[in-house]
Amino acid sequence: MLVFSRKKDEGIMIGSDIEIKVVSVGRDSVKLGISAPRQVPIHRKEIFLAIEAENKAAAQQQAIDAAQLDFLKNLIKTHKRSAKPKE
Amino acid sequence: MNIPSVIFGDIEIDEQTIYSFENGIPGLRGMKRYAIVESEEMAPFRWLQSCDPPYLSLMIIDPMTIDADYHVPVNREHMEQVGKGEAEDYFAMALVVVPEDPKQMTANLLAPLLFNLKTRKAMQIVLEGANDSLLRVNVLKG
Repeated sequence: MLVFSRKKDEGIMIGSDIEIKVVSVGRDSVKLGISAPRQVPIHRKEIFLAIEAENKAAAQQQAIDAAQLDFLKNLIKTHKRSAKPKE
Repeated sequence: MNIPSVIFGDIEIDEQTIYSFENGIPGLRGMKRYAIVESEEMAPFRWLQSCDPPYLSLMIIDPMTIDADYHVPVNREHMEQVGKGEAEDYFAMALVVVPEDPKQMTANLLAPLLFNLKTRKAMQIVLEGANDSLLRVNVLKG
């Protein structure tokens, strides 16, 4: 990993169109400003990792077998019935 | 095209109906083309069927069936990726995770999938400023 020392208002360029700038420095956090083309997705790392993990969990369900699928269908049916507004 | 789906076995997918995720879906490497498979008995659930190996099938649900007020604000960045369109050209789906106890299944409303019906392009977006708890919202209430 490339490591830079930067002061407030200093920045770095990644390629020619992504800029990361130090907006302010606190006691244990740093505020960063990022300018990048709109098609570049920018997320807090922990959110990105959480979403990636959740996507992988959604993909784990290839193991759903016929019995589980039947169970799920029944669950949905039961739920639909119970979700109907009472008259 | 014929897809050897892990869940459904061999199924025929009309190529016209395939959505292209040009940037893929984080965590699901190598898969960029997906079709939506539905069957009446599984409603309101549907499947996002990968048309690329390893041909995974992902359970999805219309987030509006969980929260009627849910909506995905389509911004310029999204439009650049999935193409411009009228409001009715866009729709969102949430990925569903079914744990060991299926009653505890959750849907990811923090990072929904955004589709453009006309351009057949899609992407996973992250709702800006939304509560992180939307990552796992119970599908079955009570």
